[in-house]
Amino acid sequence: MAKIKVVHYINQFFAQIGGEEKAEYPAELRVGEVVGPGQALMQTFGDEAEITATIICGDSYFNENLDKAKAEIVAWVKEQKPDVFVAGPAFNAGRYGVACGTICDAVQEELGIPAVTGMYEENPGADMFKDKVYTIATANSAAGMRKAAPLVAKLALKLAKGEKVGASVEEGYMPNGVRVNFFEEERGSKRAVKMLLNKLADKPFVTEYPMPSFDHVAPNPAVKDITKAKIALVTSGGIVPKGNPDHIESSSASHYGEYDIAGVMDLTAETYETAHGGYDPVYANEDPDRVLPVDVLRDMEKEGKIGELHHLFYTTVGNGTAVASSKAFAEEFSKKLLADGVDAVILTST
Amino acid sequence: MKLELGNIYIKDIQFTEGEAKIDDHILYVNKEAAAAAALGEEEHLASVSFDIAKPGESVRITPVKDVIEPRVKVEGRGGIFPGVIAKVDTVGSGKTYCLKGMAVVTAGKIVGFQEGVIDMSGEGAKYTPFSQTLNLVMVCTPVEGLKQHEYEAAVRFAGFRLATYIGELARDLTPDDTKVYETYGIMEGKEKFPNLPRVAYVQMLQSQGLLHDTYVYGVDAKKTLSTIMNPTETMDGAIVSGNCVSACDKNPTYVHENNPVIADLFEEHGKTINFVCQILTNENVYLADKMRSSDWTAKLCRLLDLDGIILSQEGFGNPDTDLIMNCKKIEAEGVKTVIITDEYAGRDGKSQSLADADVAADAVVTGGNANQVVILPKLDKVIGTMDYITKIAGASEETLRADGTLEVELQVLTGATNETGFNKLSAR
Amino acid sequence: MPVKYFILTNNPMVLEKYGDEKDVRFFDLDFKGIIEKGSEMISENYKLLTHPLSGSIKPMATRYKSMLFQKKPLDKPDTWSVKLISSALQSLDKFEDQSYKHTKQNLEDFSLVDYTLIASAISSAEMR
Repeated sequence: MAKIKVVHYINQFFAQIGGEEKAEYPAELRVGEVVGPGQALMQTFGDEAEITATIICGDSYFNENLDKAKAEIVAWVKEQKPDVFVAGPAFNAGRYGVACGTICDAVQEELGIPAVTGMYEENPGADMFKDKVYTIATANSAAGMRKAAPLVAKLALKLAKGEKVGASVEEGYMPNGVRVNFFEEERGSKRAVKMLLNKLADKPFVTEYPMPSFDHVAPNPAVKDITKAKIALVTSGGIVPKGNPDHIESSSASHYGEYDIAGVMDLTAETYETAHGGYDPVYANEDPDRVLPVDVLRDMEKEGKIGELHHLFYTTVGNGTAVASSKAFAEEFSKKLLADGVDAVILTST
Repeated sequence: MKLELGNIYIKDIQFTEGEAKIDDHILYVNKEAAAAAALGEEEHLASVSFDIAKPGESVRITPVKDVIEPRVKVEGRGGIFPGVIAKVDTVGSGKTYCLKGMAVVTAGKIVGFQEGVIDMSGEGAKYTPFSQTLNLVMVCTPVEGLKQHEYEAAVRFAGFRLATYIGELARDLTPDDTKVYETYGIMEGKEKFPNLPRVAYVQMLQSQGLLHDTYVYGVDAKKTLSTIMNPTETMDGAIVSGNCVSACDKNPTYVHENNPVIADLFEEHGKTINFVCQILTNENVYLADKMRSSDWTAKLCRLLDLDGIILSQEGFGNPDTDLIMNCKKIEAEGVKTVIITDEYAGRDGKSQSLADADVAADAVVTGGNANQVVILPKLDKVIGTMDYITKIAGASEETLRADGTLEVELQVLTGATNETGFNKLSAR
Repeated sequence: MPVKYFILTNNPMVLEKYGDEKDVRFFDLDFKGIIEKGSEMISENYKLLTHPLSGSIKPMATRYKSMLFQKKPLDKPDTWSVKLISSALQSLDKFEDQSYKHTKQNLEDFSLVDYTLIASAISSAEMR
């Protein structure tokens, strides 16, 4: 029986080309080569499968040339005709995780080839793609490679063979919204008693069914008189002054910007732009008001429909940015908004 | 309260023309005597017939109404199924013998869509716990024109009468092994186990109406306020099933008699926990009743100074609301909860598993997704009738396949996704 | 205090048994239809008194569902009612349409079960 063919995707770091400074490394196809963590996968593949090609791509190159990189890589994979596609594992490297998820998703969608990746559960790529691509849960650093590689490889083999994939806890992938039945070693009541004993002793336990989380934010009462209110604009659409002076990242933003629009009546292609790497920037760059509606609010100010537009706006890029980071940014600048007497915020997103 | 259970392991069931007895672990059933015992003075059943289904046989039993384990009280107050068969008297102490490895199964169409299927071999046998028991099946035929609720009651009582009669045959035997279960009064328990966490089992009972009722000492659980019980009382049949909710997650009387949460809490009793008591509550349809019952349950948990509870439910949809209400309110009293449920996540496993949710329910054990589709093989023999097979909840028009196999959801298999943690099936 | 209520139903047996003495609002709709009707009632500020997923007969397997509503509407939609009916509407999707099972005999059975469920609720509402 012919060996199962696998194409493996890794970044510049795991290909030992370099670290962050080499993140612009353009996508490269190495046919017939097993590179870096591919060796670890091969150990589990044994005689059953082999990596017939490795694709290396710098994390910055991928994230900043999304369409180009995707197209290139998908074309290569199409040519190689693997039975399964493996990316990473990415552990806690955010942009690498997003790249792995993105490329696996593209390969599945466009070529119908099954894909597997792996990363740490807090990697932004996990939330973004775990429901679309099987994502093995790994430790938060490459020290977890020894445990992660066999799980990734085993699942890859199953997918390649078209075998039934077991429950998340059996195969090691992150729960992906599909409940799968399986038989435990012990009966449910016994598992319940053990869980209770742990809970009573304040020891960790893992629920078998995580409740769907409804992140309830209780709405504030409506603004009493909007014609007298001070309104501020906040966006996750990445609108920044032309040149992106604070270098807000196109994805997985690590910070937010605060910019003064005192005297600015209208955002133009000459003065502002978008830093966001997750949508087609053409229309936002042509007229940034489309994402941050300064012009409309200035009109409303003039017409007395609102009290005033606050002279500062806050911006970041929502693309692949961790929920925890977003929360932290907002906690910080909302204090300033309050201190500045802002009554209400219009939050735009994309 | 202290109860000694003696187990007699039945190795085979056979019909006999002679006297009914248990000899050398073989149960000999005389059909006439059994029919007389089961029917008693029942006017609503025209006849009953018997059959035997053994593990591994190519046999399907359907439609299944209830599954009951024969037991007999040999010492102590009361008798098995108090308030139902035996007179009302507090049970749960003294000595009781159990016929293990076998069950009485009642069958017959009441409302065809609610009853279940037990397969003794093949794929389905993996999911129903009753493929592992020697089953004495009683198919009940109603008199002409009998109303459904009268038929339900008639079959219910016939089943208990038969199980009681069979249990009686063990009265003078010597059990193969025994086990003692003892719980203590509040003060006594505190003195005995001063440093152990106080734990109770909160059991939600199905209580919505016809074919959705459970009886406690013969009282319809619909009409009860949440209350306390000694866990050993259920071992004498204090709680019996009158309901035909989805076969997969209804608690047949067998499960009430052999409640696994009670058994597993007893394993830890005196070692890591003080198993204080059982708390019963219901799952009514009327919303204010749900408020009252869950408030009451939380109140009892607080009153008993409990540290933690295990909460089980019965059914889907309406009971999910009670499950979450009970969990939230009990947690709010500072009592830690673990809940046991099953799931209806759709055939693709993607839908929301429960009809209700709350962040307080952070410790959940699941009996699996009841919508999972399985293919049941064509079996050689059917006890009962296949007339209703496409009508049972969990089956569909596509159920009967050309090759004689059945495509059904786990829903149709009696006890498959039991919510007291009876089985090993789970989901992630 | 006993609550003043009306019965929303698509079950002819409920109409037959209670129609003369009580406020029965009957609509000849299928299961989905009557749940949607319930949702309409709730958006008109009527408060649900029973659980719309009562009875373990799964949604879509049965045709009939009766619900009790408080007679006098509130001055805005009741949060719990909204939550319950939304949950019911959501669960309609995960159950296959089983209306083929609605043979005459089955419909009588479903009818009876629904009737007894609502009867038990009525006795709670009337504090009998």
